[in-house]
Amino acid sequence: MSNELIQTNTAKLTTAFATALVVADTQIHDDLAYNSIKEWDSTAHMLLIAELENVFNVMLDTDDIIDMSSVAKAKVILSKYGVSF
Amino acid sequence: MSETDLQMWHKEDISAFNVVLKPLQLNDLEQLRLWRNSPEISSQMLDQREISAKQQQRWFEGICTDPRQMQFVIYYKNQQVGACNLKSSTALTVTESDSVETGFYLGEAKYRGTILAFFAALALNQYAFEQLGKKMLLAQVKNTNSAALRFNEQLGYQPDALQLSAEMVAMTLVPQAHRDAAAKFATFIRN
Repeated sequence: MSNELIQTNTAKLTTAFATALVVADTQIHDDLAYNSIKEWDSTAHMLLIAELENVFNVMLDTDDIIDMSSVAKAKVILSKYGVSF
Repeated sequence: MSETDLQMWHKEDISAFNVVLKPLQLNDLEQLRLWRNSPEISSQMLDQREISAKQQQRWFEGICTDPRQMQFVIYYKNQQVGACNLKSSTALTVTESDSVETGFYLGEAKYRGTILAFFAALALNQYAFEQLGKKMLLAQVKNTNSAALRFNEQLGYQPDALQLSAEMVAMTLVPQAHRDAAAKFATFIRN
């Protein structure tokens, strides 16, 4: 996997989070967690899942939707679907 | 009544939104008691006293034949994760009353605050509206429990215009608001 692709995926992930949560890209970091900011509530969580599935062309299992509790966790989960970070 | 006779009067499992709601059984009681006595759960209850195994057993003996309430254990992937109920707030039974109160908590810490909580609540609400034909669901939430207030609003509940308690917020859910909320989550029902 090239560094370029990894960087692209990281950028796509950041944009997907920022779009779904309606926050600045600069607020997206690995430690950002579900319910830790008011913008990442349950409604935004659903928008986020839809955005990530669309951007990375994957369909997440229910367990993974439940488990996606932070940006770092999103990277781990998406890695299972062949998306490298 | 012998212990083997102790069963909830309602027998139907409810399978929807990736969870199964099973009528409470005698062998669920200890797990429920542990959850109910945990600080995370009991702090959100009006009665916060520690519940003994004997009290829990007596409570079950008292409610298992009560047609004014239905008690369920929430299962996700064959694992107990929480509890919920429907209760009539009048002298009418759950099946007779037009409106019932809902009660709900997730006992398993790893699932609290996740989308699984919505799945379980949606399954309960759908059963109440579509199978039991209720016209309204009612909820009482401590006014300090902002997470539960937000949670109920996402499910379509609205705070009542008239609030009778200084400590509790009364909320009402009507069928259309439930259907609108369920549609938002439907995309994520999988497996």
